[in-house]
Amino acid sequence: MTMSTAPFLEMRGVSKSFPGVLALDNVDFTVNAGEVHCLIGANGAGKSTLMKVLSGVYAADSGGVFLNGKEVRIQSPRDGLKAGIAVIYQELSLVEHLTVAENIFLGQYPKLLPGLVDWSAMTRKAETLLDGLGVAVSPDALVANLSMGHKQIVELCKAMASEARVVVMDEPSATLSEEEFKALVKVVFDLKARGVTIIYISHRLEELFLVGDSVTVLRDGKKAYGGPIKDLDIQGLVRLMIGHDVRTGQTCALPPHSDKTKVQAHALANKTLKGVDFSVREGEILGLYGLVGSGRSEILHALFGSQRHEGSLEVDGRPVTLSSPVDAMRLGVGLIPEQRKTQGLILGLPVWENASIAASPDLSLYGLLIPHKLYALARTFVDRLRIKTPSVMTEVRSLSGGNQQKVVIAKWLMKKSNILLFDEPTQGIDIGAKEEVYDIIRGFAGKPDTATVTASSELEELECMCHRILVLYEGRVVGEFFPPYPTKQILHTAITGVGHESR
Amino acid sequence: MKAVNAPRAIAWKEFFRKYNLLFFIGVFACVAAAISPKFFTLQNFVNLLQQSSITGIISVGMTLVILVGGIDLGVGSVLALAGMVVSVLMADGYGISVAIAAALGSGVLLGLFNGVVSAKGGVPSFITTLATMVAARGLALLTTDGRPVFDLPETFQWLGAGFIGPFPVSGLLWICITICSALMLKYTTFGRGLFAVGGNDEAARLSGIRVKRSVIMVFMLSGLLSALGGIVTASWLTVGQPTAGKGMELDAIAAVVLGGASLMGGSGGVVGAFGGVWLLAIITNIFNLAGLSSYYQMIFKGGIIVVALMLNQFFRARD
Repeated sequence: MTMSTAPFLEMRGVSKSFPGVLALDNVDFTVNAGEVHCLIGANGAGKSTLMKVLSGVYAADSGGVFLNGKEVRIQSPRDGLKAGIAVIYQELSLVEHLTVAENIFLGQYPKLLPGLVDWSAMTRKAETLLDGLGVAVSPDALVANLSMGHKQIVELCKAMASEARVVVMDEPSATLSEEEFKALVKVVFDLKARGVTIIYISHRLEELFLVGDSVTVLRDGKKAYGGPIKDLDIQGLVRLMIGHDVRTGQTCALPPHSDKTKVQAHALANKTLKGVDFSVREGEILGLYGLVGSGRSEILHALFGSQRHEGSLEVDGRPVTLSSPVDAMRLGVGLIPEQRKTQGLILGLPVWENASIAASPDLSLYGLLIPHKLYALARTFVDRLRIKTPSVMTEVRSLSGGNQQKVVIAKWLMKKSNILLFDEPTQGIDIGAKEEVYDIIRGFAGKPDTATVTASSELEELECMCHRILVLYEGRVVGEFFPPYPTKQILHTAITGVGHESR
Repeated sequence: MKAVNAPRAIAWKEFFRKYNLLFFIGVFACVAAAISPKFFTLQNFVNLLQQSSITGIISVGMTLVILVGGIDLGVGSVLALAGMVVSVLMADGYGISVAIAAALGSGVLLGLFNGVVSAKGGVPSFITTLATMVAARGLALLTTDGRPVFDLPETFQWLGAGFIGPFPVSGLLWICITICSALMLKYTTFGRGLFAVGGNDEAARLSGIRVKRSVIMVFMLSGLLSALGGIVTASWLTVGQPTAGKGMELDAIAAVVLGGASLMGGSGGVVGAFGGVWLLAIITNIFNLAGLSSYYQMIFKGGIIVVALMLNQFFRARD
């Protein structure tokens, strides 16, 4: 009797502490068979820790994992896989230089004889899996040549090949375009139809309602909610996640900007950009919106001198040549890049050093540094930007995403940059931290003699923060919009490339 | 209970990870003292200091290269070439300072080559410096058709065999270079930049650090220090020996890694390398004091490198 009523997957009373932090506090987590179960929470709420306990990466201090009512001992990722639990991490774990088929069967190749790989069987089986999901990817293609969306799907096939009963997807949509995301959702529903249980972690709350059946909300290492998702709306989820309401984008007040042009770009072109003209005025926050590959990041990298480009640039009315980040920094330009961990920070170095890395040549005397001055300066920025870190000597690796992002911003504020370029400033950070980042950006723009350009794939975020939004499509500017923003029109422009103007 | 104990255990592990080299040095020093009363004498230390100074000087350059995620296999050959340049020039009647300057110049030039090919050409430094290792050895042999150069001026011997008070000049030179480099790494923008370049070159570039320039500079410094090692070697042996410094790159790499540096770049330091050189020197000393063959010594050294690094890995606090 109890067997039949027991939920498919259950984690009971799971606690896990790290030095100084109780990451999970007696968490119960229940998932029914064949559902898509969303797991959400602000960064640091314990989502990844919970999933790492489930998959065997971490050992819990107390509590247990039950499958069909029976306790299973999961002490290593191998045990997790054996129990049928597969995790797809955000920074996918595919071997780029192997083929799709090899990746799908990595570690469990079909064999002719012990130790001999059966290539034809492997290709055939991979093809069956891919066809079954209706994905047009060749099993012989190199993974390195696939789009992010297809890589995700290869990961899913890999999980299916290992006959996983539970698949954990960690922020699958973070790096996908709309279209890729739609394709992924289709695959997720396909898996669900085949009885695979999916645990879906995402920061994009809207999409949870699209894919999810039920949801568990974690807050500060404790379970704040667990149940069907249809009983909730976005505001409800947000309330559960952070404990209080957050204002929505449309009500944001922006500091006024002057009419003086700060940056003027003319005919910017490179592999992606096809002749882009625009200007940014003093005090203005300019938003760049477009689908993946539309050239958002490329414009920022052109302005920062970190990517080759043709065309001309003027700063404060003077023509400038930017052939390296050093040139751009001399003019006061700073870039907060899209990939925080690989482009923005040196993870193994402490907070103070990451924060002062750009400014330290200015603060040095003939190349000589006075560390204590830098520590103190870093401390003032930690306070000002409210960076949560035990000390400035802490490695940035151990900070949460939002706090890491603030360290990247501190780097340019310390450098006294007056033209800041933000590329996906809030990607992968929780709502509370997002609001703080917006406040920092608005605060920066409110100071004299500054200009700000923000690229984002989240329209809502730009609407809330920008004086003007340019929409890009395949390397061209196809629309210019002013508040109050016509959301539908902007989306339409970005998807179709057919221009609209609002004035 | 657990919660109270956990941080302390980690602190202890962290402590060991940081200072395990000192622990090993201490253990082997005790072993050495037990084997022979001669170990804890000033004379023995002076000898060790002198013998280790050349490897030591080279290890400083190697540390810098490894710090930016590179490797310099050419140090032994550059040492030999610089030793030949200084010897041949002096034998031809040039002044000591001219000969030394030319030898140092040859090292810097080869370092420049290594750096430019690695940083701008995109060739992995393992390959670039492997080529340099072979080619520079050939150049060294070519200078005299493989013959050693004898009869170096007596004043030249001061550098390798001279003393200031009870201390060997070469050893003091090593210590000075280590201190200067340690200060450079901590207190200059160039030095801090090396940690950034080694830790994440893309983030370093996007933070306005001239990554390629830093890498080239580091290889030039390694070349310079290798050449200095060659000059000291020639001065010490009173012979310009084209086969000098064979296998020295491996001693230097071992010392740097024992000193806690990561071959992936981004972490390590010259003080660690200093300790690494001492550890290897003490082990050699033990075998010499015990009168055992150097073959045993080689086997044991290989073993201790593995054991030390495994312990290091073992005690690394889990993130």
